[in-house]
Amino acid sequence: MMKALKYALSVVFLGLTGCSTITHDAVFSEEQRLVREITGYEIEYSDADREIDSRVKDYLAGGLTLDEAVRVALLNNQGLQGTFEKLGVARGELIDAGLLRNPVFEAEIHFEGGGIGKGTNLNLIEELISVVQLPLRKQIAASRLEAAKYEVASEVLALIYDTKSAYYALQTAQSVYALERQNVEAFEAAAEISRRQREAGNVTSRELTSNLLVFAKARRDLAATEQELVVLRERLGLLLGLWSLPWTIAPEPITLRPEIPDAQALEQIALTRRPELLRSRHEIEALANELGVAEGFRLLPELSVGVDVEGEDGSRVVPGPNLSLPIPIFNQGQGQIVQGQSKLRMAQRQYAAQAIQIRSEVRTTLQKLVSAVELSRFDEKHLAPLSTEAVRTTQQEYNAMLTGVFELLRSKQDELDAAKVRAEGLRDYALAEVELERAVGGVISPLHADERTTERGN
Amino acid sequence: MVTRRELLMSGAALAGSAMLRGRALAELPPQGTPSMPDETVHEPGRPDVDYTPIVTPNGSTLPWKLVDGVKVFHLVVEPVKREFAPGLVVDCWGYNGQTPGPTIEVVEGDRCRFYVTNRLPEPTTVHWHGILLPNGMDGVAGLTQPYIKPGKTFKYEFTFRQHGTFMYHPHYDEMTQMAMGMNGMIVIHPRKPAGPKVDRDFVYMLSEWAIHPGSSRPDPTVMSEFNILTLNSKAFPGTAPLVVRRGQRVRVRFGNLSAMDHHPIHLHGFQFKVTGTDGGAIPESAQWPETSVLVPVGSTRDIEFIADEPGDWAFHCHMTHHVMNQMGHGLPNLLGVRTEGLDEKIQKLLPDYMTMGANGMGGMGEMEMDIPKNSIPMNGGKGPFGGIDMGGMFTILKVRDGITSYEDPGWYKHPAGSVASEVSEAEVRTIFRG
Repeated sequence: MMKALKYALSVVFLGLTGCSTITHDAVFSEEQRLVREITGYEIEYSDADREIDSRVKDYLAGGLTLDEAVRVALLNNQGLQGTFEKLGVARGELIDAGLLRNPVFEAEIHFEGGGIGKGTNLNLIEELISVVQLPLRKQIAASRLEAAKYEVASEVLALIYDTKSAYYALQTAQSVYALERQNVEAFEAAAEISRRQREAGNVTSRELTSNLLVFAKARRDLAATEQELVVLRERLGLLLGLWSLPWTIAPEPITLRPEIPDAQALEQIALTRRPELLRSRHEIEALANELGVAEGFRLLPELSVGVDVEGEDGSRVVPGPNLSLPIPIFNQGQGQIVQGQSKLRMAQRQYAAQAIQIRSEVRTTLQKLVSAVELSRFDEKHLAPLSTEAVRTTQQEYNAMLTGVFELLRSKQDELDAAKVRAEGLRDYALAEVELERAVGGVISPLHADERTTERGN
Repeated sequence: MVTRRELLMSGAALAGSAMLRGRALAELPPQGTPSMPDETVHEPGRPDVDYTPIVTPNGSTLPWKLVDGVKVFHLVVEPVKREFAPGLVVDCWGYNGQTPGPTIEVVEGDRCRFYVTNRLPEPTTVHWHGILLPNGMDGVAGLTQPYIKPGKTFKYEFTFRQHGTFMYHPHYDEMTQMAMGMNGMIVIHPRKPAGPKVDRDFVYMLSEWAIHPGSSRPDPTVMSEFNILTLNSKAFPGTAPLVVRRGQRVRVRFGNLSAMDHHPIHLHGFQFKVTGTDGGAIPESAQWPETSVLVPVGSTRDIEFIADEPGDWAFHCHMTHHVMNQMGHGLPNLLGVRTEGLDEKIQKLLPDYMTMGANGMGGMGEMEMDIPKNSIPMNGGKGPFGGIDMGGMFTILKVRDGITSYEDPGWYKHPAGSVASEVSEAEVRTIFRG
């Protein structure tokens, strides 16, 4: 019996040795390294109910730049913090996979004549298969942990992209609002002149009313734009996790990238970098190993050995080994194997489909980017200068009393309209950049003239 | 020595009176017949000998050469650049580099040949407005002659058998060609001058144009919104003054080939008589007095007066829009409108904006503002007492004592006490008290 006990204990010891290297910090710093490599940004694991980081307050001072907004989101978005726990869940599974099944102690006690009688049985059983399978199970769980890391990285990227998109949308909406306000001011000036003309007896009621009407319509449209602005602000605020502190953005002008990257090169990069794809790869490894287990142990899925001690007459104890072994007559694991194979093949097909989709996303978003760049260049080269020239030449004719003030105001409104089209074009370009980043799986440094360092995502 | 002129003069007087005595009134030739009913060719008339040469302000006289007793002229029809006033250069069509074309000056009885070379991109002809001639020389494209195609030269030949003020202009695509500046005056001096001798003789072609400000080509499709009006294709301050010596008899001849508008030309400081039309000389008893002569489209009018008052006399069309340059039409009317705060409000959007027109539109020509190039909106000229807020069909008759040259003598130096002057409020109160 001592020998059996020694054997059991040594197996237990074996089981214990596997878990000491898998700490939370180790896993999380792996994750940080991965995120840093892909995005250049830092993530942090924080305790719940902590106060707003003083760094967030620093970023908020003076208004958030795009970069600062991303950093605030990474620090402060509670949803993201929750996502980090997926690592914990996978880590738990890994730990679990490295532990042996607990031995089972069974006791059957018969009381007879004031003492422990015949038929009392004590059993200690250890499931042995788990010992043999342990390394494989650890491998499977390790693959799943890797997969989880990429899943988390994918969530981090999604937050970064959503934050950038929301920022660009808000930035542009603010510019457009300012332009629309000026547009309303032009209508206001025209209405005021009309009012004074009517006062002096120079125009008809109809003409005055007509000018007041367009002014009123413009004011109404402006109110609608204000409303949109509030919604966009909320959207960004939500991503940043800010609900108590006041915040503003301090955007820099969006500038166009000097050259367009090659589609082929980007596709290749996407295939090596998209965390969703890498996650799928590790999941396939896990499924392959699981299939291996099923195939390898289909005839011997379970095996238990143990020691039992049975009480005989009086105090005589009879020890002996026990063995539990299922006999593979009916079930030889066929079902398990078929399932395993199908799951594996399914995962492989999905992986291929995912790769194709990723390539398609890269091509589509790149094309959208190219179009957006062309439109923005056109606006910069033609639309904007012509609309300004129209104001200048109208001002000249106004000065010479060849045209009147209403015509002059109208030319200014046309210029404002062109500026609005241009701002929206630049926004569409910036959003297209973000979509391209999403497709390639990385982050391009912010689209601001002074900060253009080497592009990290490409 | 007795000059031919004096001889002719005396002969005519004798002949005329003899006729009247010898015949009944009913047998007199009807009004308006030319003085020389036959095509007798006379010796070519000579300037300063047979006539006082015409002065075409801002223009010239068409030169001729004598070929076998015929005065031969060459008119080249071509695109022409003309500065209407400083700051406005216009791409026109004209004759011999000019618009209006050079004045054709001849004497009644001159046999003349005109070579007309067409350098326009379309055909043309020359019609001699008011001239009595053989039908085939009349110059109506398609009716009396074939077109003068681009690059070709035609010749016209006839004898002038009348005197007075006439015009020449195209008779093909007139709407376009005349809108582009193709016109000119014809002055025919009488072979036998009658009436008092004229010392200074001027001729003007009146024209109207639509030149969109900042552009350089007239728009021939415009029918009523003309914006530049000219005397000899010049708009004030581009018009040269008429310079005469005090006491001279002055004749001014007008021809009007404007597309649509008649012009009442008004002279300050004098009363004149209307002495002729393109139908002929007006008998003295029928000459009527005016200070404004209405020159209808397609007509000529001659006026005469004695320049007996010195000074700088305004001489202009009396239609108020015809003495403005290139103003806009259809502007919002801001006259009398309250303006405080408007400039600030609008300058937020348009920094160069300034409210204009609230107190009237005078003095705009003197402001230094960024205006379209090649335009002369609202321009005036400088005068001795300030800006002269006029443009278009405006010029100045300068009458001076004892001048020997007709160069521009500068501004009139008024004798003391003869200029309208400002008074104090006190003086007004003193005079009108009670």
